[in-house]
Amino acid sequence: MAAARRANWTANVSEDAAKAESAEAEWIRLARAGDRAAFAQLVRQHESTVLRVAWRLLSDAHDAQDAAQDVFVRLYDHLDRFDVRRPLTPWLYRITVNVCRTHARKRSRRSEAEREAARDSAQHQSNIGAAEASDWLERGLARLSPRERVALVLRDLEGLSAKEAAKAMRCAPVTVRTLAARARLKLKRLYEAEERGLEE
Amino acid sequence: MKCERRDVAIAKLVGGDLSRWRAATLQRHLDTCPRCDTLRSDLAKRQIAVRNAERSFEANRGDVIADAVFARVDARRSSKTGQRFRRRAVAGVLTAIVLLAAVVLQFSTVGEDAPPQVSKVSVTESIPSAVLDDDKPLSLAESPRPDVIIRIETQNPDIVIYWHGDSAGG
Repeated sequence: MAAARRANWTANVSEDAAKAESAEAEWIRLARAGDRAAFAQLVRQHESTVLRVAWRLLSDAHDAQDAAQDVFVRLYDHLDRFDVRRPLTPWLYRITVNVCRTHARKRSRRSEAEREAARDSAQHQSNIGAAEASDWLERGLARLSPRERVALVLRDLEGLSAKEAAKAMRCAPVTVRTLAARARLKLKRLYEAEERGLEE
Repeated sequence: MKCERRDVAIAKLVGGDLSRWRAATLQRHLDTCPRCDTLRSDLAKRQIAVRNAERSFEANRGDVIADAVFARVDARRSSKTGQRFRRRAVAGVLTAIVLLAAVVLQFSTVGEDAPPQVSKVSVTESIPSAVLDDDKPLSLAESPRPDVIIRIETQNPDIVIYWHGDSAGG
């Protein structure tokens, strides 16, 4: 009985997913034909994923929004080449990771003062996450190496499988597993150190 | 197994990144080692906290981002059109300059290649000295035909053309 109910639920979920994918394919087809409303619909559908990942990788709302715009500009440019039979999300993860890497590199060339000013203005102007700027997770992510950070964000926060995360990072799944494990250990040690500091 | 490698393996176990066989092997160790078991439970607690650390995003930013994307695409397109126009204009001007230079060169070399105009032609006849030196009287039929030398002077004083026709008509 329970097995039948589970099978029914799985069938419903996969049916919903198939419907969403076919709607997405239709929006891509329309956007290719120049329908901007369809493209806006695609952006609405994926913007929270892209923004969330970008913010976690960059720790800066302003940079995250810039990165999200870059990702969707690339999507717009590559619509013609995109295979509508494939889901869009894995591709978006990969592009987001690449764009964020570029933004992080650019940001490392900016001075600390500029970064601080950009962060302040972004937090005042942006609707996203001003209250969470000093989030413990963000502090922890900032201490990880770039690759460990991407692996942890994709694997543990976004819930991607090692294979999916590996595709986004263009490396082997075993590398993702090791990077994510090291990141988990580092985060744990960091929080323990912080807690010890608070107790003292 | 060294501690560092074991810690990484425990972190993999917590994330569900170990194969069933390796997970079972590690679990056997965890059952006997309190230090490693504590690490596992700490990592698991932290894992739950990380997974629950969802951020609240404003749901309606799609239009803002889409508008920004369209603005950038349009700006890029117009700048591309401008660039294309500028590139074509530069190519056109360069082609015109090259063509003009070719025409000028062509005309300037025509004058140099053409033969200078003839200003004066003079014809002189001379009897070969070898014949004249002989004391033997010559009959009319035997009388030598003189060589002909034509001197052509041109408007260019450096160019004077001589044409020598010998007695045999060569």
